[in-house]
Amino acid sequence: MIHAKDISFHYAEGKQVLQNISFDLEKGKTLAIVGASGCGKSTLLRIISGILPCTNSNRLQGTLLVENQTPDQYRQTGKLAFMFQEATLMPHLSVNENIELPLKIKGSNDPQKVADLIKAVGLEEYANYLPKQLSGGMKTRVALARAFVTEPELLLLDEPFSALDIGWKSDLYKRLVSLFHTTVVIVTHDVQEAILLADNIIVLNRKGSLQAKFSVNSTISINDRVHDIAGFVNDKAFQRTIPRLTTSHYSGRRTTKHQQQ
Amino acid sequence: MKNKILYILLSVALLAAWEYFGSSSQTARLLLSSPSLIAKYFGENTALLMQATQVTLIEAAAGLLIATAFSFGMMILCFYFPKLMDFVLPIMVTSQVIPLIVLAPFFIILMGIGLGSKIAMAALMCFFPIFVNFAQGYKAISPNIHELMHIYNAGAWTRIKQVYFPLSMPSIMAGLKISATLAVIGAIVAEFNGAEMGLGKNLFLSAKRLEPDLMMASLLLSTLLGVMFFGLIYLFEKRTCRWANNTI
Repeated sequence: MIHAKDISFHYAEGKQVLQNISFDLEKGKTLAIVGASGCGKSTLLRIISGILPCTNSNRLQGTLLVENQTPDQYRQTGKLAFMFQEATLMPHLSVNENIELPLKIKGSNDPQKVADLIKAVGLEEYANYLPKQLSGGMKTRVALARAFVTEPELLLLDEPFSALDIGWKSDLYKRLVSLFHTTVVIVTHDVQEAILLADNIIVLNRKGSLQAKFSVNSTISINDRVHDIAGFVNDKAFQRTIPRLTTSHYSGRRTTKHQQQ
Repeated sequence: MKNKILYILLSVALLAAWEYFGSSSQTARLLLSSPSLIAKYFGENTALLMQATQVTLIEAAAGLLIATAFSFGMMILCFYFPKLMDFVLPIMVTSQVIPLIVLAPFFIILMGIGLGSKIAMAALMCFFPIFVNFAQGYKAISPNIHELMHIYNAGAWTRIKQVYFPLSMPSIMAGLKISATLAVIGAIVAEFNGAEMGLGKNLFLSAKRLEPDLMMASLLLSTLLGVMFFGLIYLFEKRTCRWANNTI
């Protein structure tokens, strides 16, 4: 689905944020990009989405293909959805209308699908509420439903779940992803979240280069992996945010295998 | 409730003081007339005053509508050609330093003393606040929303209709409320410079003929026009910008 080889990115001001990043993501899988603040993980996501204009001044080097197309070409197919850190709901539209908006933009209409998604995110009673009447977690759920309404083949999530509790994160996310067989790239600074939601994890260091790659499906304990990842990020502030995991959160969840770069 | 009573009492006290001084002092009567004299004048000249009000109302309303349509047209052009906004907006803001009232004689020379010159003056006065507020409303839209529209590959018209226009609505309304009073001012100022009929013409004549009753009656009617425009826009805002209000 996504093929990235030796990606480096310079902003117009000359600042280099990514260095020689390579990874592949299969269709239907979830990739988490983990790293401390400012390491370039959101930039990588925005490059994949085709939002960040790659011009003569913003220079992208290396190969990045999404379904054998450039990110911008893939964006234009309409098979992409993006969820920002803030819910980015339209304040003038109700929950129902916000979820319906991407369909309206595409010139289609499917009230049943919108109603099903509202039900899936547990907001049936709030369908006619405006965003300002909702809590942060509710807004996130609306944004997630909106992201899925077009049945995207590729979903990009930029630290989207900070307002959701762990139960919502795992249950809701897995339900929606399995329903639509979506390929997902999720940027997060939360290692627990990455292990909980992703099949593959890549860790970026402060210089914006690849520190490690993990596949979350082997027999090594999650506790060890969390602290491994935190160690790779090599940032004290980041490491302090990693609490000891309680395995009850992850009962039935996989353990991890890693290959260090 | 307590405040309301206080306001009523204050208004009654002011009216009583106005009546007292207007009746007892020649100077006060010449400057401000008195409520009873104005009411009497109003009763005797209702048709004339209503006709003048109607003319000014048409000029101000037409000016406001033309300015709104022109501002929206300009903004739509700017939505289609975003670089145009960067070029036009600084010019618009800078042009605010020109005292537009001085252009009234220009319009009289250009269009004569009929309705056209007054409508043009009112439209010119209203255009800038509406356009500048609309542009500021658009510029205040979160970059994430622009990016979201980009990701969904939304066309320009869809963006305008579904997002830019509704999200700019509170700013547009703020501009319209400013323009509501400016439209009346524009029409009246243009009438000062030469008109067949209108509240501005009445005010001009009242100064020439030292007729405080006509002056105060025209002044009150002009105020009423401004308040009416403002009120209508306020009601429209309450309906269309429900999402932006603090209470629902």
